[in-house]
Amino acid sequence: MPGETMPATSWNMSSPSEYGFYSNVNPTVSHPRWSQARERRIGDFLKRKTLEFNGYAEQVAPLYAGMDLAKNF
Amino acid sequence: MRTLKPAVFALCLTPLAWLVWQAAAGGLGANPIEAVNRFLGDWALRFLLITLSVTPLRDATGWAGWVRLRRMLGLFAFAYAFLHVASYVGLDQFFAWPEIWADIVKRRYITVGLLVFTALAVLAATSPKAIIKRLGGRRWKKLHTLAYMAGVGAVFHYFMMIKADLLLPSVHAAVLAALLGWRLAGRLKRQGKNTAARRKIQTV
Repeated sequence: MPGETMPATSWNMSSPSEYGFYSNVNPTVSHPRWSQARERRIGDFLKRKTLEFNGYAEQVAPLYAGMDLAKNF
Repeated sequence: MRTLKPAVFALCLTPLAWLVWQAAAGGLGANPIEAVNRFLGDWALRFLLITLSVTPLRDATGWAGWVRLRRMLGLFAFAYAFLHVASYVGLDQFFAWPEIWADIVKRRYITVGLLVFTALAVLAATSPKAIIKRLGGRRWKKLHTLAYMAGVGAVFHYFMMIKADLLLPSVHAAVLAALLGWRLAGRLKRQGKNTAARRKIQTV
């Protein structure tokens, strides 16, 4: 039945030690090899602070309620 | 040598000239800062490999003149490495020292990269003739085997930062392995000859 098992995702398949199912960019949790706290937008010179949930925290954060996002990444 | 050296010097500048040209023409893609940084790192490693190929080249061709290009090639490796580090500090991080420090401490490929750069800086600083004289040829030669470690470290640094496609780091690693393998084979051969000679003496 669909939904019974977790579907495979490409980043997770490519390097499971570094990307979980969600592969979200979480500014408060570093990727194993680099910080995710800042980002450079295309066309910008300076980096800016990365927003949680790409700035859609208000809309999507409840979906992750109660999850430890350092473990479910 | 009088024409060869300046010609090689000019040739060594062509990657940099290409980069400046592309940057001015907007040909570096969507993330030009990353492109600049990667390009400079690639060429630092390539010049290190070119420098390490001088000795095998001399042995293979029997022309000793190659060695007279070695210091210049090595200094180009250092120059490209310096620009690589400068582009990381000044372009990518824009002098965000706390972030840079966190990178050095936490990200192992950055730690390795910094160690390699330090080694190249030591090699560059001890490259003038006066310093070779002061150190003495033997000690200088020993110190400059650091170049092998720098090569190994640089290849590791490359492998560790790549996300998915390991082809290019593998190619560079294979070239390095061949260059260091050549030296190892030569050393083993000499050792074999020495022990054979010693045995001969003993039996006589």
